[in-house]
Amino acid sequence: MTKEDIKILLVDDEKQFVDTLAERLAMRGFEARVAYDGPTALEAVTQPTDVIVLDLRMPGMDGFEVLRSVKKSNPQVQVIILTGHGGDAEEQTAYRMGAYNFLRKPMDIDELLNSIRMAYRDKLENAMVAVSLAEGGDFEAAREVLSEKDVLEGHDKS
Amino acid sequence: MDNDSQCMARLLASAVHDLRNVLAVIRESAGLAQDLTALAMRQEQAAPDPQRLAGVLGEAQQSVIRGAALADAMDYVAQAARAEDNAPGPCDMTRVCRFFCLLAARQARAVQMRLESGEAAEPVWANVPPLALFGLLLDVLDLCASVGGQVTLRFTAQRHHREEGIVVDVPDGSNRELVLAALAGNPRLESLRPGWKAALMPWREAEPRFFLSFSSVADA
Repeated sequence: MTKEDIKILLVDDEKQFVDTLAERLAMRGFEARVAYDGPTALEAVTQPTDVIVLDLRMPGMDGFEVLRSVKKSNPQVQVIILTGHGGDAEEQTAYRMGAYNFLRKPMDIDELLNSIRMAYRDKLENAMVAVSLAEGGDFEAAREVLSEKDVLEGHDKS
Repeated sequence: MDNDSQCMARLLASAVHDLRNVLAVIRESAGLAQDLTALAMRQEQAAPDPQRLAGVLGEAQQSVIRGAALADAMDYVAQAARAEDNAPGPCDMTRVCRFFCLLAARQARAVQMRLESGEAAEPVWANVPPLALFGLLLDVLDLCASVGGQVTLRFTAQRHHREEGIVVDVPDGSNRELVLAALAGNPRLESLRPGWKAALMPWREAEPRFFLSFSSVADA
């Protein structure tokens, strides 16, 4: 696996911040696409995506709506929340909705990169577990691993 | 929680969110300047591309200015809260409008609204508690947000027939007509503390505008 294999999507309405972050990631060998609002992010997720770095407070569609929609349509995509608006309640909600990590601005780029790498590794591991379950004939369990069904159901009940 | 505390909590939360974004831009810009310098050294160049570096540092400078303005506004709120332990002194309403637009910018942006403070032709001072004014402006913002936002909202301190107040207008936005109708609907403004009253009156001149006035009940 090379660093460039990770397909990253950065979503934030702070254009200056997200453009600079994308440039810094590119200098480290990680190509990232950017979206400045929720609807554009959801459109971008129709292309192959491994990890989304997502802001919470955005005009129009907020980060929670994007997270919910992504976890419904592409549950295997890992979502890292990166926000300037991070109370404990938001953090809990994000995790309950299936976010992989919750980071607050301003963050260290190495911390973010580390989180992106770990999220990607988890995604690959989930895929491998699902494949081995499917090979053993347990298709329902394989589907659950891929869809993180338990997480979503847990959220819907709350 | 009383109205003043609620108003302060909302404005400070909005401002802190903006401040975190400002710090994030500064951190990334400074980091990019470092990265560019390291890259130049690895490639055995004397210095990074000067134009690129100047651009990156310029972005950091702009963010520092934005952060300093936010800090001024937050400081004003803190001082206003302290001063109100005693009797409220005269308050510069132009500053209140300017600081409100800074503090509430993030909150407004969430409903696709932009806040502007207009230039007053002359200084407008009034004996009114600044926190109560902030609360009233939040009421106006909430009212516009409740019908969908998506407009620019401008606040300008002004004296009209010997009465100090704030002119509220909606210069543009896709939802302008709906917002104007909501403002014209004689909204109840609830943020004023006991002993004060406020009114938002239509003021038709070149275009539909509104005049937000307030007074102590004792003066009536």
